[in-house]
Amino acid sequence: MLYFLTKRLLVGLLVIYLVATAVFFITRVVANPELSFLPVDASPEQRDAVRSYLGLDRSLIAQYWEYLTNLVRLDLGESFWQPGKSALSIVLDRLPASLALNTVAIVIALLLAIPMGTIAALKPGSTLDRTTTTVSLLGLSAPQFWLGFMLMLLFGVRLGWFPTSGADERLSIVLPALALALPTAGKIAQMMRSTMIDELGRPYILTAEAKGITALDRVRHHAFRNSLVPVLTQGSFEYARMLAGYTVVVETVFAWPGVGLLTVQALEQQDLMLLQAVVIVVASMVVIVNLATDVLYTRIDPRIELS
Amino acid sequence: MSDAALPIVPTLDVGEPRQLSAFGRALLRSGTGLFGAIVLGLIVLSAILAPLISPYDPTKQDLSARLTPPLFFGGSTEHILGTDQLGRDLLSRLLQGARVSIAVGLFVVLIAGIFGIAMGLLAGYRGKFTDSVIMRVADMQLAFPGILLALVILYALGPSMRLVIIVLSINGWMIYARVTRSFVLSLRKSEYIEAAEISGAGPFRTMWRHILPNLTSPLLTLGVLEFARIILAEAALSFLGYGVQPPDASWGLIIAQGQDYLTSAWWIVVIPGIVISITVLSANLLSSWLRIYTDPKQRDRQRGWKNWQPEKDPA
Amino acid sequence: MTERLLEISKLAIAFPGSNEPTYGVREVTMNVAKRERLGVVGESGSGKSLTALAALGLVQPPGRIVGGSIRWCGRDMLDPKVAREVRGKEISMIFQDPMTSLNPLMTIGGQITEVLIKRLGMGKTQANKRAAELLELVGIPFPLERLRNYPYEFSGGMRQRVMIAIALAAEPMLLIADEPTTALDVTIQAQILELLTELSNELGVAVMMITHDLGVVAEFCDRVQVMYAGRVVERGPVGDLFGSPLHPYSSGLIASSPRVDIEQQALRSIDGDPPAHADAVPGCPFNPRCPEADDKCRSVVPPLIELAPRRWSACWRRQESMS
Repeated sequence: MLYFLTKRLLVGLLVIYLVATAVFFITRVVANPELSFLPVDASPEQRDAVRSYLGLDRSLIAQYWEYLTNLVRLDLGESFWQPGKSALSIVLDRLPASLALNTVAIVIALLLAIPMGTIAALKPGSTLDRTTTTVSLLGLSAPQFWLGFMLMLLFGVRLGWFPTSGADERLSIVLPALALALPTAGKIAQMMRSTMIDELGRPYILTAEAKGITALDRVRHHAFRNSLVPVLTQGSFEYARMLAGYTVVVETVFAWPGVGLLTVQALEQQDLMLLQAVVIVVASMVVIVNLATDVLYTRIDPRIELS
Repeated sequence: MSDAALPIVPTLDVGEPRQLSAFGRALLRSGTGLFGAIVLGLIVLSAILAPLISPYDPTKQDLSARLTPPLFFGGSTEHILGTDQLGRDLLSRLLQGARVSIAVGLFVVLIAGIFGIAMGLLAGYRGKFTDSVIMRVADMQLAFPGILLALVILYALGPSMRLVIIVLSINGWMIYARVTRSFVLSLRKSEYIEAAEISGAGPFRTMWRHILPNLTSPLLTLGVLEFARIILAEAALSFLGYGVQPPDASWGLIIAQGQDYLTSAWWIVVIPGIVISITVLSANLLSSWLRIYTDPKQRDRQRGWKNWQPEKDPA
Repeated sequence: MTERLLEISKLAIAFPGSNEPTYGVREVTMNVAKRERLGVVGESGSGKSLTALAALGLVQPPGRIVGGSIRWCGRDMLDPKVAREVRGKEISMIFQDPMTSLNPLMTIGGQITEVLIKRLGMGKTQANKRAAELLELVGIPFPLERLRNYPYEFSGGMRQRVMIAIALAAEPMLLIADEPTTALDVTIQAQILELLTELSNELGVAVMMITHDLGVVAEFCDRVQVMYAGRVVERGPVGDLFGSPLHPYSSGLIASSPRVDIEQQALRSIDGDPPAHADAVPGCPFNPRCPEADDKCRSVVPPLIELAPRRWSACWRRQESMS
């Protein structure tokens, strides 16, 4: 078990390292960070001055080495946009808001998807099945940011039930969480449905039927429970993907003060340090969540041998 | 020769790729699959014919007609889907956007697909070291925060349609590689391929003549599914402002430009979103149907009892 | 005559086909008596497993029972309510592959006590105690500890023992065993057969043993029934049938079994293949492969009749020669 975990941890660290390297090269080598400090018509001398101030005139290797050593000490540089503040601290400040949003979203998604998928699986091909499948497909076909706008329009503006931006009120989390949740719910519902259908067709279900176990119990105690294993694992992966990707758009639409919105703000402000910090932190979160998923999976599936 | 004492051993159902006409007929019979195929086809067709069927030049501004609502909501037949804040006809913009979004989708599927399939074939055929290297890279890339890195690259190099295609391709090859590899591995184990290899066919020949034809169905299904995903990804990138740039239009960009008018001119945001949803939905429906059609086990599940009465007394 | 437990009459089971339905079981009439051990032999596709599933009301859609009757101790097993009541309690079934037939994510203790708690209404403690007893009965050491194990922690033979324990939990009168030893090593096969013999003797359980292996039948069963293409073609006491078979198919099967007692140069086999489904062939289903087939065999289906006391056969040629 320990060996397994250590191996995954090392791979995770490797991923973070690769991501950090990629960000480094993209921002230093490809972009010209000094331009964000200068007016458009700056002279070459001014540019060189800023470059040397930022340490960009040293050799690439030297810069990279300094970058890595700083990284290990968790020093991700100072923000351009908010000078004086460490980029890492700004990101960590906003991280809880994103985590809260994504957690609520995944819970909503699971609460919607698992029953829907189960019901559809019990009568495959029926009208109920077709309806739930269509609804799931609709959910995962709509662009998330647009769903956000639709929810905003309907529930925020027309009905006025929920606030449409910011995180000031308790109910502010509802609409953005829903926007994040619906497409994921669609995906998970599909998966729940097909997993359940597969499980219900397995020989051990026949054995249970031969034992005289009622259909309800066969579903409840055998098929459903066994289907939860892959589905919850999938849910975990979806959580990581949500965090790494679509939280950006949804937070932007709803002005939710999390790392997603921070990414867009960093881009707007051309704050490369902050951008770098966001990417590295998010990559780390993804690695942590994936690791946690692996551990979770081994706990709930007794067959996994961690040798 | 049959040995009555031995049970029949099931073999992997690797046969000739299905006939095109049978495919066509099955598609016509399916409900949702047909819907998906038709709608998707119409959308792609409109994208191709956009310059011909556009009622207006999508970049033409007409400030006197700005923010006109669509036809059944107080508008007129002049602008069926209304206009935006600069008086540009929404329908024309949507058609222009279709060209961009569909093109991005197709190119990415092609590029990522070809690269991914090649990687998968390599991994599946060479095995051992090549296989584990390729798969490790793929797995690690899957753990990358794709959208974030895409944003960084687009920001750093300057967003453009071409770069969007490149970035999304880099992000998307892994799944083709995985699927191809697992198919190659399981097909190689089948007697059918073993026979081909024993009879002297080299790896390329075997790959080309025997393995690839069997891969077309699952890869086609995957391709359509990925197409749907790419449309959504491109829309998100363009919405954030780091995808396709004005004056080009993309459905995501149109929505971004309409955000400020959400409450006053809702159609600028709502309608493009509906179009995206329908496009993606059709692709998803088509892909689902393809998956069922190409999996023999699933197909048998769909069979049912037609109008048949049991005999009274079987003689 | 010993009391008949299971009586099946003119059973027919069909599946939807592309044009017409196909029959998996065309017409089967058979019965199982108290405490007897009946072997059901046939190739894959002969309908033997389907018949067994039908006896418990377990024919899976899209397959359907489309004709005939099944009675258990006089009760109508085609009535789903009756079948549900009888299943697991009065008739039990064990299946071929114990790995997939057991829930991989449930402890085997849980799978045994499920029957005890749900069908016999026992409390948890009592059920666990009984489950341990059952494990001991089927020869699994350290039963109390092993209750908490999962199927993957057992070997193939042990898993099959667990299945037998589950099947016997409610003390059924009939145990249907569908190819219970086919997926196991030969040495384990012998152990399982021995166990079944012991248990059926001790507990007085009747056993319907479905298999394609004549050796198993010879060792374990009192009576044997041979099935082909969804029909019964011969039936009789084991010794008599093996000694002098009354159907060309049975003769063929017996002749093609490898023998250790006489010298064989090559293994013999029956030419040809079984039909894809019952009714694929007009007349006697075996006629394309039968060395003795004549025009009547090729056009009219022979009925299963009692040619001699307890010797049943469905063959025109044998019937002609006996009369």
